[in-house]
Amino acid sequence: MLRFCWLLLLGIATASCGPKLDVGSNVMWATDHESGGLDDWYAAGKGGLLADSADSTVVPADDVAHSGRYSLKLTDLAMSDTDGPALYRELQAPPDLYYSAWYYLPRLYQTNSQWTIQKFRSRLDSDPDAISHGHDLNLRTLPGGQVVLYVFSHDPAYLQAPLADPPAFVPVETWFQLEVFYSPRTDETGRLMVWLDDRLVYDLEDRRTTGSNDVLWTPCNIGEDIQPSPPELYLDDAAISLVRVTRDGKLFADH
Amino acid sequence: MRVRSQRLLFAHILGPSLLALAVSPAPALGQVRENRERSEPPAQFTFGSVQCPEPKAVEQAVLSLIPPEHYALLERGVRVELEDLGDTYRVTVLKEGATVKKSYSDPARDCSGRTRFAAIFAVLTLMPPELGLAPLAKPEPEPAPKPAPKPALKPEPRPIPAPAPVPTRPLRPLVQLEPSALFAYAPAILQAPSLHSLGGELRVAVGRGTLSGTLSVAYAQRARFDLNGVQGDVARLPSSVGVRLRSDFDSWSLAADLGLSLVAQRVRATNLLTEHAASSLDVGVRVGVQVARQVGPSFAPFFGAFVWLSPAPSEISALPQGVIGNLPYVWLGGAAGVSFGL
Repeated sequence: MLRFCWLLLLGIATASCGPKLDVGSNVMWATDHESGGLDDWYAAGKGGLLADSADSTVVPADDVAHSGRYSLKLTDLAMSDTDGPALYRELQAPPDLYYSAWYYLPRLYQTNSQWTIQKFRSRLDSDPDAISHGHDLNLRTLPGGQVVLYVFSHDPAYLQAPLADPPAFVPVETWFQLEVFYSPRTDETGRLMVWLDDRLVYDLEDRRTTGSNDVLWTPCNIGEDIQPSPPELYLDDAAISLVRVTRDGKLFADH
Repeated sequence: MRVRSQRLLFAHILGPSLLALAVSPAPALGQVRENRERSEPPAQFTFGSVQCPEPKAVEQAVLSLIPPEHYALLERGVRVELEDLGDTYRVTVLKEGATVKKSYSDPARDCSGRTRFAAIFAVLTLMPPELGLAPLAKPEPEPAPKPAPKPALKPEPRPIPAPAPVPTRPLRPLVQLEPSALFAYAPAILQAPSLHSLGGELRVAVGRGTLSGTLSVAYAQRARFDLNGVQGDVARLPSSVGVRLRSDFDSWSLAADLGLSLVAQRVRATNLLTEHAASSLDVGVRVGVQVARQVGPSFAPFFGAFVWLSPAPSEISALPQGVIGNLPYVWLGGAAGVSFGL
């Protein structure tokens, strides 16, 4: 009997670490760039580089990464308020989704124009080749050296949203997460919510958020006059999901 | 009152068959003697040059215990011999060459008591109650009790009736098969959700003694859970190997089980964009108690309660949340079924 009890305890002790059961995912798409390329952005033919030219580059980089070894380095040599390095994922008639990405500013830049780091756009029903601007997430440097995040709508009915209070300052030389809940609506029932490092900083509701059923999510680095030039931006661990990823979320199951 | 108590005493000693023969018409001893007068008494069959007990008195007592229609039984070479050995006396019954002897201790020398005991011994030897009128048994029977030593001042020591035969409990079956239906409930503890489930269990207990080994396998149907917005269900296949401690109380038995449990379980989500089932094997302890009632030789309905303990249950993970909780640490349950002995 005593021996049996010892065996019992031994058996329990050896099983003291319960295994992890992965039951599924609410992540529609994600990339950690650990392939060392842009493969994930091109997956299923639903994305890729939105604009690339000799004046702007999007390359895998291993000097900084939010997770793993690689991130993407976006360098804006175009110095244009519309063109610059950008990636996109395109979704047809998507449900309400969360769009998450981690950003890294390698230094403090002076913004003498708008500096757009993320866009929500849509193709026009009348001209599929034309992409209409929707909502942008922009950065602006304040005189005190802080970098503040704000939302700008290209819809004349909305334009720039009031700044968050307290302001949504983004850090420099530190990874930060932007997560957006985007409810695409062609009428005034759409909604856009923005979390900066898990803090809800913008909640814009009852508005048109798209010009069609098509949604292009576009992390980017676009600015006409950002000093010192060219501005560089790192991007990592991007995801589209049905639920919030949050700072602690996991994009991939353990292997 | 005295007649009645004698009758009860004899009925108890002689058993139901002899009682039916000798006493069922409920006569007193004297009445029996009157009936016997209508038949021819057998020749003398009791001998001995003793006074205590007196052979004639013993013979009369024997005749009073045997129905007259069975007197022929005493004519086939039956001989009852009495010996007075002082503090003891010996009764020897001979029939057709077979001999059965019995000595009794009686320091008080209660002659009437010796007469009764000698007569009863002779009758029981010639007519075992379980055999009715069967011939003389070869093995020595246990016909009458030993009279307990009595205080010297007590004039009429009462004979101690022969101990009732101890009912021999039939051997327990070596193997008990115990199918049962079960209900199990897991309370929400820490990151474990609350679950409940129905199922069935088959338990095998091997061993006849107080301690036996057990082996079981059960199935608990899918139990639904909600963890951090992730809905899903878990199906369990608990098995266990252990020991059982059992005590019997008449037809009831109480058993306590302790075992090492291995629980195979399959978890799946039901509200995620992509869902897949995952399986694991958790190690733990099963503790249970069970009450059974023996209805037939190999049939015993039972009910019981049990606890499944999993000190390190499997974690449940989903994307992008990561670990959303874990399977229960504790399951409490009840079971009802039937035990079949093999």
